Amino acid sequence: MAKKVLIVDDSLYMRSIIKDALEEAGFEVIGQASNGEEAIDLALDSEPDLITLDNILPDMLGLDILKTLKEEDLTSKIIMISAVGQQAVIDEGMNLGLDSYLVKPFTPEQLTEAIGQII
Amino acid sequence: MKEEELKQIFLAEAQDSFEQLNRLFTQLEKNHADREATEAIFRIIHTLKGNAAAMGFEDVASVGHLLEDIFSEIRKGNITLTSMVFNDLFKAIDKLGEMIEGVKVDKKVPYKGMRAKLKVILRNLKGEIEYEHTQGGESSEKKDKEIEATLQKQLEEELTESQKETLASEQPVPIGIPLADEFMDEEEKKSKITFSDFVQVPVSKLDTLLNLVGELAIEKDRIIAQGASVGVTNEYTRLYRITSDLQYSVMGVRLVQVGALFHKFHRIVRDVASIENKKVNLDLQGTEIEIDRNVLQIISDSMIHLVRNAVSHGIEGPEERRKKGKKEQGTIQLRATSDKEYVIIEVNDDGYGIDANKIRKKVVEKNLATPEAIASLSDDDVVKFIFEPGFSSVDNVTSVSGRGVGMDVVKKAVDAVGGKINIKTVLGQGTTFSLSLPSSMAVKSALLFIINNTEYAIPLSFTEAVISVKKSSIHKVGSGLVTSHLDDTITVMFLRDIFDCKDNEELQNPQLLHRSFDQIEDPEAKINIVVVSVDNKMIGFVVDRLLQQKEIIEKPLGKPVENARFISGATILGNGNVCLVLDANDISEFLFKPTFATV
Repeated sequence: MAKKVLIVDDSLYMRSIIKDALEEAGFEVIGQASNGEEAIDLALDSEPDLITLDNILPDMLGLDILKTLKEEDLTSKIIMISAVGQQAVIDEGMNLGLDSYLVKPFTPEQLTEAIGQII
Repeated sequence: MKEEELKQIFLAEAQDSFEQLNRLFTQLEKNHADREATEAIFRIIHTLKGNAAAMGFEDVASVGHLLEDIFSEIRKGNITLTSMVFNDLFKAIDKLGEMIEGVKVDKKVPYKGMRAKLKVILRNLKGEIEYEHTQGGESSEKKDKEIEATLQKQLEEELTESQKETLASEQPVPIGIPLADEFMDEEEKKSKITFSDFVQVPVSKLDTLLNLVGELAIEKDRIIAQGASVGVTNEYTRLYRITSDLQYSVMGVRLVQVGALFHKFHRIVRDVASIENKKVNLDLQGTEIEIDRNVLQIISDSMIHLVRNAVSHGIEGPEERRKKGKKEQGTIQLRATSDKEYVIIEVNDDGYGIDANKIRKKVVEKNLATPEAIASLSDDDVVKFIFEPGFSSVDNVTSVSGRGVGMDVVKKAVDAVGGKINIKTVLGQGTTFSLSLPSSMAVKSALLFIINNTEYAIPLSFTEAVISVKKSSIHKVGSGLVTSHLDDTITVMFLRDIFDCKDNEELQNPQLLHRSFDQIEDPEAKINIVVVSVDNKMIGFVVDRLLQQKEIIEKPLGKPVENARFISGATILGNGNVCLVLDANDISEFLFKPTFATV
């Protein structure tokens, strides 16, 4: 059965890119969220196998989402995809239980490769 | 107390809190520094959260908890509100409402996203950026106690004042639940116990009570009618008085203030105005006027529709208003007044007004009338076309009002409770919709009459006049009949014609409405007509014989005849006969369908 993915990004463009790449690689995109509130509700409701997470969202940081989902004991693998290449954010994310991260811009191959390592 | 009952009480209170929060938020939005509103919001949320936690409604409790934290900081002056945050807080209140509704219907509402969002808001408001890995339950508990303590202190101060007053004026009867004990200082007030002066009762219990009283009233009529025939009338005077007092008391219990509905509009007006970028002020009048709770419930959607329309189509944008020399801020006024058995609710705006000529054009476009017919009508009559099914005066559909729900739906709801709707408009100055609603649904005055030796009733809210005319002054027009009444030509129908029909097919017979008329041979024969006004049209119902005017308690028809045509319900008369109540709206609809259209 295809692995289920939730895509979280406030840019429709970025969501489309990620969606195409993941579907190409055989994933099933079960949902997309453009803000943190939606993301958390969708993630807890659908319990996907994988969540791709942008860090800067209109209502909160990807780190906030990550923290909340971990507090809720969600077992989905989470990969952060963010233009913010700051080491501090990545460190913080890893501390909070992030499974992997990817810095924009990226190629579809880089994305599937990073995901392949955690799933 | 049973779990379910507790839940009902919680829900009633939570619903009330939710409405208050909406009102207070609207107030706070106008003035972010409004201390009174901040305090009130804090207190209401605190109570709501506490109750929800006690009931085990984790979702309401946790979102409530965060809102409480945010407001706790605001009232301490640690953070100031910004307009941006405001919309988010409003959404959080919406979420609370959704969750309360969810508790009611046993549906889980996703809330953890909102909770995370609120945490972020709180953090941003405080200007801290930190990611604590663990947040001890202890610290939040401690904070809770702190809040509890300050609240308690405040409430004590308020309570001691008000308690002194109530205790001095009246000694409460010692039954019920001591509600205020949590606010009291054990040492000082051990001896004082106060009781709430109100009890909450589910509407279903009131409905049952009213039903029983209704049956009692009918039984009373029957006994008194029997008594009268054997000459013991005097003995029954007391019975008569007490039952009718009881009936009115029970009806009184069901009355609620229209404010319960009006206050919901602060939020609706604010939301619609903000979407449309308009400045609108809401003015409420007569909020203390009382009306049957069920009537209010049935028309509430219509009211929402009217108010939304008023904001989105009635009021002009600020720029346009300024150019017209009006105040930038438009005003919508909701006003209730009471008039005997009726409550009049008016929705007034000081905006565009309705252009009768535009309506004329639209009516012709939509084929609702011929250009000649519409040209001969006065502006006031033309405007009434907006209540016609299939008419929508809006040129461009907007997200707020263009929902395909037309004014005809509003009219239907008003009809359903036996009310009337009217419209007054002055171009450039504004529009007023006025809804005349029965203050109580249970008892209505009705006119009794006889057709085919059977008694029927029609609510007085429909009747305009009772006239008697000669057969020769009734004329055939098309497949129908007309006569003149006060210089107007009105449609006339023999009720017997439709009640004698065996099946639906017979109802469609185009000769139907001439049958009884043709059977009367004497042109001088007197014909009794009850003139009713339905949908702003006058119709004359021909009856065999008129009886008296009487207060009746109408009950809906039971199965299997609940969908019977032309009949809205039934009542039992003093003589024990069942009397059917005419559904004038349904008859009018039937009559003005193309098959029989006479005008």
